[in-house]
Amino acid sequence: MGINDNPAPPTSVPSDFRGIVESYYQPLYRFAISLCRNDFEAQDLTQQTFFLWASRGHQLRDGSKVKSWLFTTLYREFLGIRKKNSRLEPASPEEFEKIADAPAPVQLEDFDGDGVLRALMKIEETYRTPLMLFYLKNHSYKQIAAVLNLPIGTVMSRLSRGKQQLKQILSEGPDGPEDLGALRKESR
Amino acid sequence: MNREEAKQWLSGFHKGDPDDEPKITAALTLLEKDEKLQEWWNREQEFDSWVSQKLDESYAPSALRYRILNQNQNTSRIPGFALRVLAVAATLFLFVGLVMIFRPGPRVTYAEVMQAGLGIVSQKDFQPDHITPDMSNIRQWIQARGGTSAFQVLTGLKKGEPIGCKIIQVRGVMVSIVCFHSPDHKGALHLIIFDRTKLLGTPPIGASITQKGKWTSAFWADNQYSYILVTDLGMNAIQSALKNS
Repeated sequence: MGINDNPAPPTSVPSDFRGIVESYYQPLYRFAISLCRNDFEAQDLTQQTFFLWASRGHQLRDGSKVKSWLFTTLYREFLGIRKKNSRLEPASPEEFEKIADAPAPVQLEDFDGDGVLRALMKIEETYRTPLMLFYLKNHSYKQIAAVLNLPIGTVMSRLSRGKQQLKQILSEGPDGPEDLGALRKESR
Repeated sequence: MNREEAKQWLSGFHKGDPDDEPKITAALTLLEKDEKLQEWWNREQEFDSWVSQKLDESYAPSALRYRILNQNQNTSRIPGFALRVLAVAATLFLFVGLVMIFRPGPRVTYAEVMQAGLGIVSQKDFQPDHITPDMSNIRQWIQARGGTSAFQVLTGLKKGEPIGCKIIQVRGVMVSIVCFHSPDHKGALHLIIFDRTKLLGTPPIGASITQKGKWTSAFWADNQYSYILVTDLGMNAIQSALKNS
């Protein structure tokens, strides 16, 4: 039997604005905070993405591409802001390396959602961005390549190395030096 | 393709993803024959599913949903091709007309103003351009320079004496910074003000507080202005300053 004989059913795509917000604002916010590492900017970035969707989204004829459109737009907005702020970091050179059997994560049940997000935030940005897309709304490798404008081979290499880093971080346990709370706002 | 290379390609592959990429096809072919690779991939899928599930449980601010819906409540997708064409034509016509009369003004996000304001007030030798403890004088100075002068000063903030003010431009938007001593004179609080119509996005309902390093800030808006209050005196100082009775 082929591995793809029983694929996951396609996720239904809401067509109204409210439905799209309900479906995507959380994963988009999580993607945004993984990019800018600041709650304030992540919220603005997410809001700006939906603002653009409200004004330009009707141009998208294919409803199945809503997810890609939103994530691509958010990523491009982020790159635009970062370029303007001249904070571009050089991308790491890609290497094709042997996949070492990373230590299996221990005590995974000790991690809650924020603990996993904290672990993901510790991954180098080059690997973190595709990995967040991989885990948020199950982006396929082709969708990740399209959002990040990267060749498929590069995406695969970064996903593989990112996952190794994630396993390594998780294997060290849920207590880490970085406090996600510092990135997060407290609402009154 | 050997097992290690197959792992690299399968590592980024969800069950159900397109399998027409030659390397993926080769990896999947090897997967069907290689028992150890299958065991590895089963573990990998379990791990991926666990991470996705945990990530879905991680924090996302529910207030953001309201901000987005509120911002866009009057914007909806236009049904029907003809209606869309008509709407685009009418919008273009109106837009061209308006552009002839008014040039659209620049707008900024809270994050941009916050970043610019913090960049200035966090400097070690920061001093306002105009120093006076007289709030009326501060308003006059700002007004004379075309700034936002009719802003509201919360009661909690009034407990500290004004220090002075400064005007900056953030992406073409005029922003006023008014500095106050804390009530105990142990530090300063900086009120950053700009026109609400220049705000890109919708302000939160009530004030929101955020922390960035040693700097705590609150942002909110009234009918006329958008405000950011920032200090390095901590959360208590911000909360005291936000009291308005």
